[in-house]
Amino acid sequence: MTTNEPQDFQLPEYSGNPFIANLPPILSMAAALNALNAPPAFHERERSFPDELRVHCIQRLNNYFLPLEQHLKLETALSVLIRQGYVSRNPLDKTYFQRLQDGHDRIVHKDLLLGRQRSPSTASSMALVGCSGMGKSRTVERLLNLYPKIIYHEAPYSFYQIVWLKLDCPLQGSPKQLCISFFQAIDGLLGTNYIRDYAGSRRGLDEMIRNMFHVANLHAVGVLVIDEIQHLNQTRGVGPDVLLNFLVTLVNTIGIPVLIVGTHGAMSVLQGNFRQARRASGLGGLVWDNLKPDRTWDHFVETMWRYQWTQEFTPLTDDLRQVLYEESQGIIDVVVKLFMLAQLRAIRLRAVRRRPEHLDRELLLQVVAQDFKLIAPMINALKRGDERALAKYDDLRPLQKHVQQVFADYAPPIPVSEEPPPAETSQISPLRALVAMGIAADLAETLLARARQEGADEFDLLETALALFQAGKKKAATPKREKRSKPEVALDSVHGIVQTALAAGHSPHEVLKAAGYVRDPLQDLAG
Amino acid sequence: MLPYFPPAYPDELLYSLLARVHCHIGESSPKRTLDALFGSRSVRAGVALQGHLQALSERLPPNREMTPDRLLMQFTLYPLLTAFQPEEVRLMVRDALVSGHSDWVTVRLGLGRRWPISRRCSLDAQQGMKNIFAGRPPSLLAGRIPLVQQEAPTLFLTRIQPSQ
Repeated sequence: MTTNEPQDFQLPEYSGNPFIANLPPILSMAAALNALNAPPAFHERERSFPDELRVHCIQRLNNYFLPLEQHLKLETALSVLIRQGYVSRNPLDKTYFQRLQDGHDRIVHKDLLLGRQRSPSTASSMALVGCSGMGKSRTVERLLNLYPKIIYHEAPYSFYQIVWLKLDCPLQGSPKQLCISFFQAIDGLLGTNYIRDYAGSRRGLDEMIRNMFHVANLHAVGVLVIDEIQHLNQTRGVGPDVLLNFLVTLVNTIGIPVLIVGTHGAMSVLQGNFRQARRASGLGGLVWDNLKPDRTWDHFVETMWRYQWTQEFTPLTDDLRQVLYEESQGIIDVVVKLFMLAQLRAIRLRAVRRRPEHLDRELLLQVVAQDFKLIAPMINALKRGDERALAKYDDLRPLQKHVQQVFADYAPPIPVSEEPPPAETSQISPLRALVAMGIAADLAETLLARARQEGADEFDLLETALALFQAGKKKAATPKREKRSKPEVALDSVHGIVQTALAAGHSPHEVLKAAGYVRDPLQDLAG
Repeated sequence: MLPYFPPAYPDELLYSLLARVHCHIGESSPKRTLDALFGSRSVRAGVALQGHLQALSERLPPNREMTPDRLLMQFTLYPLLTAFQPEEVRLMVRDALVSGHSDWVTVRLGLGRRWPISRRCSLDAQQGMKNIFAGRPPSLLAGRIPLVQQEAPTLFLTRIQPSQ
């Protein structure tokens, strides 16, 4: 059939349902790519900006997002999850009405399982499990933000439809806490006061759950996203099953789709509970492991590599590519942070040592050695492929905080004027800092000299000098004495002879004897 | 504004509509429902007539255009019960019902406590329920008025009691 008219692609089960019809249209692959893509703002001329501005430019990489195949898969899955969940809830026919009636019956008769046969559910659940730093939470957030959070329906029912709600898993896995967060989130969205009505201190858990289920139904929640499900590992007493069963009931009986997001630590919990595992695989549980060094990874690194705010552009070589993979093990967040810190370091090194601003293997390795100590256990676990260790160390938040700190600590070296030689400019600030700490100027100079002798880096200079100071002033003062005494030793004195003999590996006694300082006692006897 | 308000059926009494709100929002305490609807727990829900319409109207979704007068004329038995009253009484009753303080209204209109409002047509009731579960609006008001005869001539007593 060939027509020139624009084709109507609407699905009857979707267009006849106001809950679905009011959602934004289903995205094509290209549209989804476009919607998710968030390249940092970048202009060629920004490379020549002053250092302090470029440090801010590098921060843009924090929000960098490049949609990959796995993100698109999740987009499709989420779109299906939300829409299919609404198929069995339609305000234009009896289904929505019946659900409300059932909800009231459940509350009045205090029985959660009433009315299962009357209103079958088309909702399913999905689990997204992956390494920390693969952008799970951010992707989910970005995808959810493609949908409006609330939609107001005027007729026939006048009410707010809540398309999605994202909650963090309560720290100790308590369903009561989840209910309270749920009411709080809804109150924040709609200005209602469910917290007061349903979450008072005298409310029992069962009552609260019934009310929560009913409110979820009333506002036609499209998908409930529970993030950080690995918290269930830390449950005490009741164990994780209580909350999981609660979520299963939400899906099966009440018909609200649920998306569970967590790190590998959650795997044991989800697999341990058979029912949950089955439901979780219903729509495909997605697993986001670290990227393998394949085409996807290359695509990501190549795209990211364009955003250099260093004065000279470093092309991406195979060598660099290898270091990037080796040190990040395919964790997206780590490689972006590595790239950011390397640029920051290059800028600082140029300011301090006049090193040209390019990125190379050594620079990347320096960053890793200095700033990635925190996540070394995780990277090592990934290198070894040790899943148990991974589940234990799978948390990148310390790194994120550390990187923030590094950028916050960035203080450009104080440019006194253009005249003084570069070597001195670098000395000014540590010396001043030491003096400011109450250390005498001459002692501070000695400390810095010692620190420099020990091969301390420009950045560590102050730290090393302070460590030396802590070790004791005497120790710090020793080099002065040594310097003074050394040239005074005459070569033909006893001291000088012994030293040269020791240096040559001879016995000092023999040499002294040969020089006539020591007499042979046997000769005395003979004489 | 109420976070949820169901559709009203043609000829439906306000009492029935508000009862549905109570059900649908999953409320177990009638007092809390009254608080949500009228902003006061001491309001009484009436079957034939309803007071405090102004307060109610302010809480209903604005797009539904449920003004106090529309509520009075379309969702209560006010037009029927005041049909033979003088203009002066009609206006007094209207003001009382809209603003509150309507305790004297039933007496003034000559309605006794046992006014047979709970009589309803059995066939009509059955059809109504069928309609609801088919997703169609039922017709309700006609069945509640004593003098109106539907297809079935016999009226029977339901268990529903008018409030006071």
